[in-house]
Amino acid sequence: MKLVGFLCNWCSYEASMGAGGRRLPIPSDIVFVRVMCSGMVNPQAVLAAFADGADGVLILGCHPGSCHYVDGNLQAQRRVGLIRALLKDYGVNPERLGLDWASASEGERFAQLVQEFHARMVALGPQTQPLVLGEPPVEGVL
Amino acid sequence: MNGKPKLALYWACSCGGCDVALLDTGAKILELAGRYEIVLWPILVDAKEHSVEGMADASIDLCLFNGAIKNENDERMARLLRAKSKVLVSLGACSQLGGVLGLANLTRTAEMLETVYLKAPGLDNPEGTLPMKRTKVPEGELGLPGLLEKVRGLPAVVPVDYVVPGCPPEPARLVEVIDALLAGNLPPKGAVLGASEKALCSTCTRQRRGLKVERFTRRYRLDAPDENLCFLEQGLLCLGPVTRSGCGEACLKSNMPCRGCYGPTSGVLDAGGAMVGVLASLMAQDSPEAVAEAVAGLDDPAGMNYLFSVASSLLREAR
Amino acid sequence: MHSDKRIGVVLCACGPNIAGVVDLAHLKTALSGWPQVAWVEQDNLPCSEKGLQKVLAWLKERPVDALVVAGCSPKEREEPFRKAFKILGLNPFQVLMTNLREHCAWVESDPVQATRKAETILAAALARVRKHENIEERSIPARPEVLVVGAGPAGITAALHLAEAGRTVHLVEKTAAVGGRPALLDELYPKLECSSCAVEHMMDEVLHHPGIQVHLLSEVTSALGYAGNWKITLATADRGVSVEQCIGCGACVEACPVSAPDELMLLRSERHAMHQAYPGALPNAPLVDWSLCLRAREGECQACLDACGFNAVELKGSASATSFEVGTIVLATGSGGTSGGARRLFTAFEFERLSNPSGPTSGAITIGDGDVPKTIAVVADETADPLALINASKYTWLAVHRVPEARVHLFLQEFPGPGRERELVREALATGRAEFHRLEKGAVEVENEAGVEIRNGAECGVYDLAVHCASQEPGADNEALSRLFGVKLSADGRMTTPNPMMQPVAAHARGVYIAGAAAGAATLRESIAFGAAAAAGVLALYPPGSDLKLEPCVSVVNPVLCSGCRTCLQICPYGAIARTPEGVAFVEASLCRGCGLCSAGCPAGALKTLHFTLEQVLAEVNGATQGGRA
Repeated sequence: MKLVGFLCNWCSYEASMGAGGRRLPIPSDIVFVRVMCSGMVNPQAVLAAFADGADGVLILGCHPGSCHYVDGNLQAQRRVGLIRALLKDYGVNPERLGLDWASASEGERFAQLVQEFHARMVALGPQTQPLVLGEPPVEGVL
Repeated sequence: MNGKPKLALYWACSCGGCDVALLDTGAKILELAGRYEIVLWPILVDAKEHSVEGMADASIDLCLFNGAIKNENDERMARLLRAKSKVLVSLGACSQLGGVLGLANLTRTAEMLETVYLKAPGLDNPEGTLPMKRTKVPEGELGLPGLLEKVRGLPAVVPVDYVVPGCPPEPARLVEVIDALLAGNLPPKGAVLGASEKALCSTCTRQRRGLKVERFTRRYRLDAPDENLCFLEQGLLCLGPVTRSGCGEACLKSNMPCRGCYGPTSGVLDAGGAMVGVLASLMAQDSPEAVAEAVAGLDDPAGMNYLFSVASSLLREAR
Repeated sequence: MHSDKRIGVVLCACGPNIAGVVDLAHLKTALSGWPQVAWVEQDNLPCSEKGLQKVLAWLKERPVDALVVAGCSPKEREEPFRKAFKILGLNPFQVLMTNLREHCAWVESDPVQATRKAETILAAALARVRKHENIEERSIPARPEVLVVGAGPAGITAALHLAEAGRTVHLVEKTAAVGGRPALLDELYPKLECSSCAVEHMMDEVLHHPGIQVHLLSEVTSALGYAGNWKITLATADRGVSVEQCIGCGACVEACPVSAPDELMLLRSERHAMHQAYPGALPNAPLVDWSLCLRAREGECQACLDACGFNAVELKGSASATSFEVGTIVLATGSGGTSGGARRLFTAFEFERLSNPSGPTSGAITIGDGDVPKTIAVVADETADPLALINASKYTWLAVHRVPEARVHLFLQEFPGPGRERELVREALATGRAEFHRLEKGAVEVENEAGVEIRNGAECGVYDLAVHCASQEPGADNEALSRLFGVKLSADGRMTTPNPMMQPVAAHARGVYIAGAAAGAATLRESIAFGAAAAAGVLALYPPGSDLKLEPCVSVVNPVLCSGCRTCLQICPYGAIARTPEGVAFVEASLCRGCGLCSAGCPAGALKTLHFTLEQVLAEVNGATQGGRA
């Protein structure tokens, strides 16, 4: 599995510190990218991650109402809804893009969210199945 | 033959609109034809494709190539013309980006053939005949070039020197491009000609009033959209923010939102991803349920956001 | 050029914490072969003093353009390595710390998995650091002067603190007097002490402090600039009287031939065109109401001029404009709510005016025609703010003690919980002349000739006089002020800050502070506290004579690509982005917080947030998914 997690500098990164401090297991398939805010995650970066072969992308930010930058997480929420619609049309299961919230003190919740996301991605299998070239209905067809 | 520089114009998988746009330049095309010897132009001139094979490499001074790369012959001609041409210009959205034809990348060739030849309503094909690459007829054997599984733009197949965007490129812009070609007045290779570096919003006269969108809608559902208000603020999907300006905005002036035919500006990595940023900033919804509901109101999200650019998008093709 | 960048890598063993799980020797060997990696070193504790000395030595012996430190959290430990780079004259933003502890060794117990993950983490870090650019840590010159708008208790407190701290303060007040609302109120909760007495001292001080320039009858017409550098323009109405010359004898007031009903006296008495704002107003000088003044309307009268023996009457007849520059702004413009001709049904403010000893009846609580009420109702709106409850309990107590002939009826949703309000209400009830009614949903008060009819559920009564305590109204000018100063208003029209709990006074726009009732219902104590907090905010922003530090990792617009679509303006929570006359976006670096919401949403890719550019993030993602060696 190749999973990318975007962590916001204020809440979810600190939550990851909490999880680490408690030695809670985090699947080794996920690598975290630190950004200042979940609202800093560019939709094109998410699509690029999938184009690069990521099997899942998880964005974790501050709880709605508690964003360090007022409402960046709500911006992220709207963007994720739209990206999922695009992914679906491209045959990428929209569930592969996750969005959730964890506050700085929620180390256990962080670990749980990441583990559950990982489990869902394992169940879905790898994203980059070999492209199935359309087999012609009849031999020799265009 | 007569010492004039050589010009080739080719259409790959194309509707013919780019050639019509060239002819729409009126007297200007005659100037071009007068300056160059046209060695290939399937729509107009009798030169054959196989005569290109015999030419020396880089002996064609200028090649204007429109249409997407969709079948084996398109790919063959793309490579051939690149080898034989000094300057290769990608003309029009299909050539630049894959164009509307790129929508085929969201499905499978087998599915498409089944739909077109076997399943579409109104078909009269009781024997289930499908087009074949080789077909025996009394006179011999006929051949058709096979379809490639995925549509590509020209730059995905061979290196390209210039791009002239548009579906089709506006004749007024083509006049400017031809003038530059005739004067030898071209920018460094890699440039986009006949279009602005800025997106359509830079020339659009509609106002932004800071309205938020409660639900998305389609142009056909509205009797008369406000002619002075930004389409996006009226819940209509307009690709203006990601699309190069230069077209003259005929669509906007006819009260139709931009569909993105001049292609994304150079700072856009992925037209749909870039549009997500704009749409999200306009949406009024703050809960996941409300967001999902509003997004469900968008018809054909990939088809509309990548109408001309599926083949050049980040994901490029459906999995 | 990114592809020429030479990168040093420091692997931190962190004692057994990382080295105990991750095979650092394997990592060192693997990474040493990667493109652009100049050297890989390992240390037990590079963040320690000894460790940092070693790192400096490596950097001096084998200079590199960028450094990756693989250890614990960059939030905790990246700074010392950035300092090391600065010491060597290199740019601190070419240092990247990545986490192999909380993100790897501490959460993955299998050494093979952990080492594999560490390699991926480093691939991502190396890919990212290749794209790092030098970023300057900038400061801009900032002015020490402060603008305080509103000379009520919050504004005065802020102004006095700032002036005592050595700042020059421009205190701008819309009315002709300082003191704000408390100077007009009667008795203050909780001790029921005289309101005007309480604020008298600060009113005097603010008018005489050498560091404070008080601009009365003035409003801000434009505030152009950014944190540290604003140009402020005021429009000042003509007072008609020179405050410096006037000795407050009132001769001009007596001589003035025209008058009209006085709103602050509930229309029960008149005031002349030349009038004192209210009894006891400071500065003690009258002002002219030009809408009444005969001279302004017909051009003849000069009774006031003739009556004045001190050359204090100056009838310029036109407003004047003033401009000055400031570095920070405090908005203390208070709440709204005016008084009018209340006869039987009073708002809280009107009741305060009535019961004020300097009010229309010398403090006697009477109905509009002068009769003493036999029944008084006090109603606190069910949706009202806590101040309304405070007022209701206060007025109940006052009514019972000031009007011995009356029965007082208190209508509240609930009997007050433990506290001063409950004490006041209980004391009132103990006199035997007060009653508590539970206020039902949808209760209505209607004033007519006979009295104030209150329909409360099934109950219906008519009262001679009633006081309706509603939520304090937002300041009347809040909309205009929000546009002038880039302050955001809440749904109910109050000024807001991005984080009311953690930053109660710092507005969205850097360098602007909000104090007192402008942000919501406030008692006098709260207004004074917030005024002091705003002053502290101003002083903490930059000491005088020093520059204002800017956030280094700000967003920057590429004007070539920007099409002026305004998406970023919609997104920015801080109002840090404006549209230039050329039609492109512009990020004001002194206001930018580096959150990156704008660049993530820019459709044209015309905005980048330094140190978090799309190129950098894509490289990191690519490194994480594809190993990023290419």
